[in-house]
Amino acid sequence: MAIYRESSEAIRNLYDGERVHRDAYLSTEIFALEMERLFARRWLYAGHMSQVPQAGDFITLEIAGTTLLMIRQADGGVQIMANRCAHKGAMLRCQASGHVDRAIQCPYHAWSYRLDGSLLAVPLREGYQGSHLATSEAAGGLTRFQTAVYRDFVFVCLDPNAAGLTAQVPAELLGCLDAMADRSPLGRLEVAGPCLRNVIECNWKIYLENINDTVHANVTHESSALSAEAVWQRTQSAAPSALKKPMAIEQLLPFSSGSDFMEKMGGRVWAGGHSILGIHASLHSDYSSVPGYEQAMIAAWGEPRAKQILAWSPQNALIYPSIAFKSAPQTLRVIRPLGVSRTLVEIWAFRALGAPDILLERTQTYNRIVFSPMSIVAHDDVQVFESIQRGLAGAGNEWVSLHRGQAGTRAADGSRAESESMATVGGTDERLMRNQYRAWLEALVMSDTASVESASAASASAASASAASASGASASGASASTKGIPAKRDSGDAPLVSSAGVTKS
Amino acid sequence: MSTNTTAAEHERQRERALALVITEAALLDAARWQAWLALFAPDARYWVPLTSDQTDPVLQQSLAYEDPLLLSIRVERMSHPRAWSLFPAPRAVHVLQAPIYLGLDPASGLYQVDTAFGYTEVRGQREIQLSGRMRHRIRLGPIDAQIVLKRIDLINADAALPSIYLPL
Repeated sequence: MAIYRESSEAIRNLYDGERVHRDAYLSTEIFALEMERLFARRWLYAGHMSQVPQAGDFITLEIAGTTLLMIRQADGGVQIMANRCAHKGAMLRCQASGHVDRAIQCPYHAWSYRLDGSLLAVPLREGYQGSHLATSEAAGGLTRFQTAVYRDFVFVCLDPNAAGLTAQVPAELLGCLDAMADRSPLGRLEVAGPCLRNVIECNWKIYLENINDTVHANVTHESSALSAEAVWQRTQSAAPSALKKPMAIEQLLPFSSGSDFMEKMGGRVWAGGHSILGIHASLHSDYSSVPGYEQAMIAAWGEPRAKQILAWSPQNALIYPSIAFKSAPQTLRVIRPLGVSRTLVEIWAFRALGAPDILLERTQTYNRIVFSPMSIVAHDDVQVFESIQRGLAGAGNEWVSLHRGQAGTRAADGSRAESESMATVGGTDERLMRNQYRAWLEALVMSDTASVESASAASASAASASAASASGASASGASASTKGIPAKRDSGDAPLVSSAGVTKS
Repeated sequence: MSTNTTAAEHERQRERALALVITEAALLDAARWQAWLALFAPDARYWVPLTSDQTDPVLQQSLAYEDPLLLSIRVERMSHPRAWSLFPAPRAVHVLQAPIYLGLDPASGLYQVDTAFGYTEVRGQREIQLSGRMRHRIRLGPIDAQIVLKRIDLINADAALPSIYLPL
């Protein structure tokens, strides 16, 4: 029975500004609506240009139930299209990546397509005389989807009518991608090897809320942080001379940071569900400096910009609803919902070209000890997420509480006022999660594309004005940005939020 | 006589190397974590690559790549009262195919044993099955036998995997 598809009111009742109803996490109908109205209309992460360096190189991916091909074009751009033959629907390629020369041929009846997806040839052509093939969908070739490239990160939007990337994503979030790319003295990143992939038996929103959850760290991860501390202390006391703190220890110990530090991290939220957690400090702030690297960065970017990049290490930047990334260490997680209670998380690492290898080693070490399916840190997250999925299904309380941090957000008449297009919050404020549900609700209750566009475009318009002109973001694979150095490199309006000296004490 | 002694020594080395592999699996399945950890040499690595042809454990990603320090943290946490994912306690069993003794690698001075295996891990009602091939590189001292490298190539290392709560 379709309760939610027929009634915006029923959907609105799932989130009252402070609480989320369990159906948001449990209902297969809601999940289907999320795929149609949210994931199919948002710019989502597809891949990175370095995965398809040559014309004809491709990767396959699946987004919101649609199988896709991302193919490097002859002109250097990239295009994302349906991985579905226009003839009978067979997938053109099933492997994760590969290469085709000039054309891609279907393994079923040999229909072939140019790299841009247009139909090149069908066999037994004379047999179509008198048919309506030429005016049918099949003649259009592979369905092409909106594709945008920003600093070599490739995004796709399944909705042909959706506004462009820079209209949906605030400039400050794109600025965090700049900050990651600019950790390379050459301004370029490269995907480092295959990604880690973890399947978790929970709703995707449980994972996404946790991206912005600092309060769980020293509770959920107590065993990992304290075990690391105990072993490290024993190691030190057994050593005849002072030991350098190993990278893994440097990364594990901050998980026991207290809530005072977490609050002072600070966060910022934008309409559309986007956020940056850790605008003043993060668990990554105190990683040791890398000899020679700062000088190389200053030589490349000038001192002010170089210092700005090096000081900027937010805990998580979130491009709602599917991308969580860290400028440093250069890591990007992609959240891909597989079902109402099944979520795939991809964990990608990036090499900053021209930077010392230790930066990449730091990224890979962090991803492995914190996000891998074998990570003792991830284990405690995953077991909590999966238990939430079970807990919510039970009788009794039907609500998830997101009440924390409401002070000052109520209007004089008592109504909830969290409607600003941008707001700064404390690092433990659950507004970081409420902001996700505000966007979620907007997406789900709006049934026509135009209204979704105007809402998100309006909310992001002020922020995105500079990005649209300066970023080199390009739609439909024109990819002017693939070789470009960002216009921001020496400008005073770089979107990084100043990190005013909060240190862990 | 000396030829016989050498043959007997070789046989003894083969037995010690194979015994170590079998003992290691038994200690894991018995959850004797400290005894398991003690099998690893100070310079040992425990490695679960993401791809079967992987040669770089540092700059390429792996499911796990741990030195004795990280293994010690893993073991330390096993007895922590708030290691939430260990409640209910996961249990596992390794089923080993007959290990293949590949002899001494003269370059490294290490003895080599490769073993195909199946692995079942349960935690409450949840059960996962994995399989693959493990490669042990072993240092045989006068008395001690130590693991210098345990490399585990899962046949589906490149798949999207659920949590693997215990060391493979």
